[in-house]
Amino acid sequence: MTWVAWRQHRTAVLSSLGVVLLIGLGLVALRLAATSSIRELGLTGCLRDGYFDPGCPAGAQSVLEDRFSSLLSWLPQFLIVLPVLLGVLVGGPLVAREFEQRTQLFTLTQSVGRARWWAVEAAVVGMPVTVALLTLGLVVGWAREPLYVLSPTRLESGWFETTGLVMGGYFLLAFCAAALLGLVLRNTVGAIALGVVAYLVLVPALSMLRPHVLDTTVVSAAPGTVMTDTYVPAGSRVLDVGYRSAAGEPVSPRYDQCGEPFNPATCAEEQGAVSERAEFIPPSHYWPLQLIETGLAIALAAVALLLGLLQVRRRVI
Amino acid sequence: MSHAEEPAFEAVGLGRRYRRGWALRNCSLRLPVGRVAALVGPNGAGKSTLLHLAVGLLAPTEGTIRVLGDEVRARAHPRVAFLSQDKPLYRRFTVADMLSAGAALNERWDAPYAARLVDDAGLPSRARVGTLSGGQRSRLALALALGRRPELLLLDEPLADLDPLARRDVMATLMAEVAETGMTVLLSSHVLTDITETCDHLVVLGGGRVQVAGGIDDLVGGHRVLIGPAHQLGTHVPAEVVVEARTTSRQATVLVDDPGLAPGPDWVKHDAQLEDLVLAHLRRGQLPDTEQVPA
Repeated sequence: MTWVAWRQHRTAVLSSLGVVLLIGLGLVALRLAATSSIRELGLTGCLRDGYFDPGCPAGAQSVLEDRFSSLLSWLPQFLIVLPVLLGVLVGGPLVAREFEQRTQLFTLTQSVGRARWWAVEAAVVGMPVTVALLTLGLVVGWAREPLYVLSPTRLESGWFETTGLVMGGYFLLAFCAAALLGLVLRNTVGAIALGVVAYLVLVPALSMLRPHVLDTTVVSAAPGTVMTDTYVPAGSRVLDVGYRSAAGEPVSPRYDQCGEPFNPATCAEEQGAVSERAEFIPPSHYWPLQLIETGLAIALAAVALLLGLLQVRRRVI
Repeated sequence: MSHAEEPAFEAVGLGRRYRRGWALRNCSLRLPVGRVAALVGPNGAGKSTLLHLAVGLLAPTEGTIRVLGDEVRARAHPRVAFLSQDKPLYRRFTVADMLSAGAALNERWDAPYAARLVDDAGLPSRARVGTLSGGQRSRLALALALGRRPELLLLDEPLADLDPLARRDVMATLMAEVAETGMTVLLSSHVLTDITETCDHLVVLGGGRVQVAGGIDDLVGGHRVLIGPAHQLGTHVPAEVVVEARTTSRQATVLVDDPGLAPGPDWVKHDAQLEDLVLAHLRRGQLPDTEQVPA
């Protein structure tokens, strides 16, 4: 059965692996280009705790920005669609094509049990690509490391989904869900379309849920001082910053009523603010959140596989 | 192994309902071991449904179905092979790949035998399935079914959409293997003439029910055509033996299932033709239940 599944889907698996490999090579090139640029501009050692050391060559930062910041802004937008695209394109036709070409009449009348057929098809195709995307996520994280200072924290939506382990988890989920839809709808295009729609709902929902999964950190300091490394470590995902009155109520200063010279913190103090408060997800939460989200995706993928098992057992051809 | 008394195929009160209604209902059928049976009926009679139920592709809505003495399950019986109507095979596989697939998907697989059947059919082993002609694809599908060394072979319209030459090839291969192995065959067709030469058993399906079933010789021998005066029909021919009666103002032509019946000197008795007999039973099967008892 394994050989048959491989022979049926080897084109899909090999081309997926090829796409992932090409992107991986591009990322290796990005890292090499970044480190050599940093060396060439004399910026080695200038990035301390995510901030430029003021003693480093003036203007070098903007040169680095010119070279890499547009690439860094579209890279996560491109990478974020990769797991779902591969997932639905490989998972949608997995069994739907058998129903479309009616070859299930051949496959299911040989001596292979239905449960085994479903499980082997999913495993032979899903596993190699999942492993490839897990690896790719780690490579993305590694490749952007030297350019840390130019791009938002990896806890920010965009990078969070495209670094670490979640890419593999998202692929597995999209793949299993599309395979299940293909089994139920018996239609490749329908499975692909519905799979994409489900993903477009799921990813923003998960991003919105992320701050509520683990406790966020809240700090308070004198107005105008909270957004420094002492209080909010570099790499945090800041959720909220605001002034507070002595009673702890939020203060929204009216900046048109400020005195001269203009200073927002002083202005806020004039209007009753006694402290500035920040709420953020600390960088230490990156890996726990990655593990939780990947685990959730794997669990949902397992549910899809299980529902598929119930469906194939129904014997409606 | 199943012994001689156990039927190769047995359905009792079998029914299958789809969303649009019953495709098969109240179907009871026994097929003894070693028969080559034709399953005939018009399109939509439930032939494919019956075969799909026999091979476990469908679960019955009611009743039971047994093949080679075992209840049919979701997993195909290892000694039952099935050839589906459109002979679906993996289009991008080569002929050699399909043989490997047969070996990989079956515990019981006679690789040299399947390879010989493919060779005999003159199929190039490196040709892709998608490039084969209809006749070649049928030969390949048949080789894959026979490679499982079945004791019961179920074929759904094996000759539909084949040209006459390909029909002859497929039928000749099939019958040579049947003669050699003694396997039981149930093959469906909506064209009676395809199969009467090769089959010794007939099952007529109409309106989702078995209309008539039995050995072809018994069926032909068990029916007679009577021709006589129309006005004597009601009095001289008992209504319960009439399969079909056609009358003009003077003459009645009646198909009866009692060969010994002799209505009187005004009546002439002929042997029944198989085709007439099947058509008569099919026409009777299409009538609504209330009218099914001949008047």
